[in-house]
Amino acid sequence: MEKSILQKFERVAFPENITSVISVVMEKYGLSETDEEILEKLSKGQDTESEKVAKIVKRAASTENGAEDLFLEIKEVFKLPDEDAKSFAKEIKEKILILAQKISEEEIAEVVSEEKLKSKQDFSEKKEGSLPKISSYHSSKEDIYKEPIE
Amino acid sequence: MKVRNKKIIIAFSLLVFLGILVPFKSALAWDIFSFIRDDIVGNFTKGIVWALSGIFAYAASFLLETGQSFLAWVISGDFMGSVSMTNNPIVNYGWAITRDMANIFLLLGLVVIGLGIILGLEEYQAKKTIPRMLAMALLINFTPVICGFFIDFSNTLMNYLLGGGTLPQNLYTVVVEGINQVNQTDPYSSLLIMLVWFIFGFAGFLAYVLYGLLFIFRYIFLWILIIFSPIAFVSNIFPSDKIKNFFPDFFQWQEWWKQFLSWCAIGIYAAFFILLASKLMVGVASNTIGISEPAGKLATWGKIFSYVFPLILLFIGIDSVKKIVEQKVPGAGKVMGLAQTAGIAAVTAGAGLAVGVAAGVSAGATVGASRGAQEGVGTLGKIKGTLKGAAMGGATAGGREEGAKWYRKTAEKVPYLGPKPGTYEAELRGKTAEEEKRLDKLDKKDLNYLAQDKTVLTREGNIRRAAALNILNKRGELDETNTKYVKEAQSFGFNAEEAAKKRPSIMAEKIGKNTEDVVKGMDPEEFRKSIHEKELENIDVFASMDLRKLQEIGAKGSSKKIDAVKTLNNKTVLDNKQNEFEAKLAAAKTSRDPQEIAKAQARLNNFKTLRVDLTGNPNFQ
Repeated sequence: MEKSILQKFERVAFPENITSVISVVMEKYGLSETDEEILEKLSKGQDTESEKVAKIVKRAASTENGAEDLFLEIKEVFKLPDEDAKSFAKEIKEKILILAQKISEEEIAEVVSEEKLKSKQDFSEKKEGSLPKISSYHSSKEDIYKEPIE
Repeated sequence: MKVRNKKIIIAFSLLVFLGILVPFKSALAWDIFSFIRDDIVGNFTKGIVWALSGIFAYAASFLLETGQSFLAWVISGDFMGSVSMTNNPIVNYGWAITRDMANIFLLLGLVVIGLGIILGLEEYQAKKTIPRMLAMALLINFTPVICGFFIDFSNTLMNYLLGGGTLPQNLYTVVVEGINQVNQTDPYSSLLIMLVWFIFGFAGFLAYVLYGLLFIFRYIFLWILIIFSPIAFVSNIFPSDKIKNFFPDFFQWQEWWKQFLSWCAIGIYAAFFILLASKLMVGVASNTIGISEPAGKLATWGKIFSYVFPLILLFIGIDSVKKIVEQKVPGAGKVMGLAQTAGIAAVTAGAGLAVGVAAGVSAGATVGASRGAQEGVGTLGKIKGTLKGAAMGGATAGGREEGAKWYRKTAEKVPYLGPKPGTYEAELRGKTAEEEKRLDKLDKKDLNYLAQDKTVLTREGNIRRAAALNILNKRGELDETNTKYVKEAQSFGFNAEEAAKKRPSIMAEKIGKNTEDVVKGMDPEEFRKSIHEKELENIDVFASMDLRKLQEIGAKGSSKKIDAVKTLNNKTVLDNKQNEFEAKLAAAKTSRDPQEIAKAQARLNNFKTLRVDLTGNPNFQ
């Protein structure tokens, strides 16, 4: 039983260009697919290679010691020779998993609220002639700008 | 006996009354009820409305005539009678006193210079001061002549501009004749036009009275300056830093000249603006100046609006002169400022009311006609729809607010006199924001009730509805049911554009766009922050995204948003949408329209790219 490394309200996030990075690594091991090939497989209901890698990467990044089983998983899923599977696992660790970040929903909410905070400050400035303390804003219980957290 | 007589009198009166009115009706179509309703009550009401129109027209004409007559009187040679500016009892009396005082100061100056020479004080510069003192001793006796020269020069220019010191004799008559060209057979339209004419008349009255007051001020201040001219001249012999402690600014050589020349010149500036405005008014009235009149439903208002131009010109003139006056006489500047504000407010209110109602009527008529036609009730239905729409457009708060908004936005474009751009929005935003604060504690049920309130008639009610919608939008609680009155609420501060960014599938159509346009109009970051998670479960919203938006959601979006996108990673849903795009591309190819083909191809390619990324992106696993 794999144990998640994520706390409540946390998730693993990869950067925007992650699919390109994965694609470059896959190409080295003869696993790359064109868009048309992917779409064809999808229309037939088959799993695509990139989807398999994405799932492996996501699992490895979000479970405790997930990267340790990477070699075996890759070998089994892609039927690669040991040497290639080892090398592929290593590259995933070094080039892909290293990009993974644990982010909390709080952080996401903060990103959203930064912009709103500015407008709130502008408003307060006009109304009271002074800026509110940011700390007091963060501690506000009725922070309507934060995204609700489930 | 008396009772019987009364009955006879009443019966006789009734017969006489009917006898007068009945012959005007066709015997076949005669119906006592419709006769009472349409002819007696209708004509009585129309009579009152015509009478009111007449009162407004008379009052407007009276005000305009009074204002113009006042100014004509003030600038005419008769105003001062046979008394000249530099030779009248007040000036003569005052000037004699100040001249004697100036002579005393000359003696004082001599003493000061003498002491300076004895004590060897260089700063009194006796060699330079004595010739100057002698010159001033001579000149102070001729100050009325010197002042007279400058005043006469400015008056000559003024008189040249004002055509011999009078307004055109027929100015008022010509303007009223121009207004009479706005021929109205409908009493209600006539009442409205005359009401607006009254407001313009009042603004014109204010403008002319202000100019009249300015010229009166000019006479008075020039008198005062002439009276104190000997003191100003004698002040020139003293070193200025010492003088400042003794003489007020007004008496000092340089300041005196500055004020004297300003008051002389003010008359020229004012005369110039009066000349332009008068020419424009006469030109507009006699149709020799071609300010084009609007077509369609605004046509009858064209003549009235044309008079806004000369009025604006007059107020610009007042504003320019006011700035000069303010520097010289703060009190006078403030009085002029208040009167000017009242005048501008009157012009604004008049034009706002007129355009508000006209725009409302026009918009209502269009909608009414369209609905009439849609309901398939033929020409009669269309006419009825048009009339009802016009009435409702002018009568509803939304129609009037749209008109007022149009006018205010137009006024904001007027340089110099118009309010700052964005004032209208800022005011409305402020009011709606205040209402939002008040309603913020309400729950969704109550807010829904306010948002769906169809009984709203007043501006306040509309602002409340807009505020309720804004709160619902902030909470992400807008849905199909509570967005029925979005269009109306937009006029009162509901930010539908922002709401559409959050809920494009619900709101895009209501702001005249489609989901694709709204989504494409946002950059990836704005899209991620604005979009509601429910929208990301919508395949149309998904298909409207581009790759960067999808990747932005994957990398930085909340779990809710990512989970929403993940629900779409469903073969059937994606296949169906892809098939739809392929069918559209095939249809476009059949039409052989290269633009349509390119668009359809781009949509299909974009969708395929999104699908590929969704499958291979670990953020969506």
